[in-house]
Amino acid sequence: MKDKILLKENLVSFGNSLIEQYRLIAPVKSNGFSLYKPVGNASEICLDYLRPLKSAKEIFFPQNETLFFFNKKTQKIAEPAYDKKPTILFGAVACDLAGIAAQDRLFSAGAYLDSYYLKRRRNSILIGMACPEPGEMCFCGFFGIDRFASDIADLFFTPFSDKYYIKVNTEAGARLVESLPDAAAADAKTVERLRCENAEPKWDIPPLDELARMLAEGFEADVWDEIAQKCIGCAACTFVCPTCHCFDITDEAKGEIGRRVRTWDGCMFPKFTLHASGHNPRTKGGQRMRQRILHKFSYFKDNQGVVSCTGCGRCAEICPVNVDIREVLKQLGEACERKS
Amino acid sequence: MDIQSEIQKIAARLLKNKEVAMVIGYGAGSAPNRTAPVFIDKEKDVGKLVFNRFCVNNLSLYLPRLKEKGKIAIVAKPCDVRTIVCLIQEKQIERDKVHIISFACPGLLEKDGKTLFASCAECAVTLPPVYDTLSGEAKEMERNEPFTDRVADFFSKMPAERWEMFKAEMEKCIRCYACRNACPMCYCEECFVERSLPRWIGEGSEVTDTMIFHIVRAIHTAGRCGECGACARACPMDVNLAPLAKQIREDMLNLFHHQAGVDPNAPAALETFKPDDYNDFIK
Ligand code: SF4
Ligand code: SF4
Ligand code: SF4
Ligand code: SF4
Ligand code: SF4
Repeated sequence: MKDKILLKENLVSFGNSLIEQYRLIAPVKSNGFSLYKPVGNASEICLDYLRPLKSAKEIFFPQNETLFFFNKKTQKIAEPAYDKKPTILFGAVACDLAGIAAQDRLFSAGAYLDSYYLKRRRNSILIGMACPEPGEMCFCGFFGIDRFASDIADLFFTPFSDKYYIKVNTEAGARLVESLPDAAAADAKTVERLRCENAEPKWDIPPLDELARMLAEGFEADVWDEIAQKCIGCAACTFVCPTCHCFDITDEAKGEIGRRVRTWDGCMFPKFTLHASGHNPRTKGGQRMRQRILHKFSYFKDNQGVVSCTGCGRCAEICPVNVDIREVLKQLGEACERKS
Repeated sequence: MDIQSEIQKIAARLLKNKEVAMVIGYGAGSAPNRTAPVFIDKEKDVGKLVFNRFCVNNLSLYLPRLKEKGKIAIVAKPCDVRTIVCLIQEKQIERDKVHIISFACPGLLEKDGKTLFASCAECAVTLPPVYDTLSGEAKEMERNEPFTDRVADFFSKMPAERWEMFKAEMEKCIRCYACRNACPMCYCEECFVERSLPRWIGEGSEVTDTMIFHIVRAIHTAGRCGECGACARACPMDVNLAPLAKQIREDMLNLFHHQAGVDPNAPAALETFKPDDYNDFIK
């Protein structure tokens, strides 16, 4: 499969050629910030933002999704309508693609196949886009995520001068760019140089293997209460996160007729773990903060083989009280050092 | 002396003399143009207190949950003081258990470091209604030009258009509840949105449910909202929450002659009635 070149000035016509056959989702400017949204015309695509405010996860795992409709009287259930048109996610940044990779592991892990997720995900094509400059809250480099490539993307775009270099990863991707000119060896070199010039800075966060040890040792540490003291227990951080996947299932009915819905939930809500008995095993903010961090850096890794943080920095960006996950990890490291 | 140095000095004195157990204030944020709440209980740590135009939180939300620590000093903007007054009126905290460190407010800036927050541009109070220590000098706030009064703008529209505007705002909401949780007056241990027996509203992001959440929250803060704007600043989706809150504040003033957060000795709006009320059902 040959890599391709697209002139920036041809982006809109390229995008519009996709819209005929696919549901195209791309970053658009909406109310002064960027969001991944379905586009009717490729001219709506807006790439001058760092990364969309919300992650791309809702394309495959919507915040609110009808699982089925029911009628208690007739004892019948009905599946909701599903648009079979395949989806192209265009302009996904590397941290979001890593997020989708984590979601893929979870929703198709072993015996637990999530048909709702998979029917959307399997009917999709991912087109990545390099971030030229990380934002002030970004730390994807800490996880070794390459801003200029992604295995999970069918195609990956890197902007340089007046062009996009298109790395072709799959047959499905290749078919979309068939008619575009091949990339020259010099173009590949330019992109490689860009990537080297943009090598990641050093992070003053404990390295991942050390973190794993700290998390295991620090389960009962007082530092969790310290970290969580300012947290106000909203779920903004989990809702914007590309890897958070917790949900709740409820019935919404009027009389005998209704629907069963699944809705995003988040471990930072104090009621997240409230049992039907009235008992709540996580009553303290520190316990909830610990759950969020341990799930990302310890449990998910144990169960799925990767950490479930991609360093997108969104949680830090939107937290109303500036709980910055990088600081949290640092604080944890310091607390462990104090102890030993 | 600048406000930050004065705050640090006052905090140091209060902690040194053991007048308070803790000072809640603003500390440095993790990126430029941000701050984060800090909780200081040692005199040596008062250097962590900062003051700048990015002190966006209303810290009084932490007062009720920390009251078992004893007397607490709090760095509070004049609008934040209004919610402290409401918390006192509603017996969530006691007046003599809180030391209010306030100042003449210069107004807050958005993260761009230039634009005055809409809630601050609309604010008429640059001095706190009550305080224990006060820093700075009251000045006329420098407003953005051109200044649009979002509330007046909203209410100048015809109902159908208003409905569309409201709906468009509500469609932005992701129901993260940061607005509610950032609000000192939303201190209910169980919010109606989380009740499951019976369930009041659907859990998801359906716009009608979202509307009910915001309308009920606005009504629940009637006569209690200090108009600090912390809810709107906490919102990650930039939902314009002002028109609802502001109109209710105006209704409270016009219909009940009640202004939230002015006098800690006055009764709370919702716990009083007047024998000469113009509504018949009250008699
Ligand atoms: S935890 Fe925060 S930084 Fe990590 S992936 Fe989620 S939103 Fe991004
Ligand atoms: S437990 Fe918390 S951190 Fe883990 S996926 Fe759920 S919401 Fe995210
Ligand atoms: S966004 Fe911030 S305040 Fe809200 S739950 Fe997450 S860490 Fe806590
Ligand atoms: S509703 Fe908003 S403006 Fe009113 S007191 Fe609460 S946070 Fe402040
Ligand atoms: S903070 Fe904003 S997005 Fe979150 S619930 Fe409130 S209005 Fe909705």
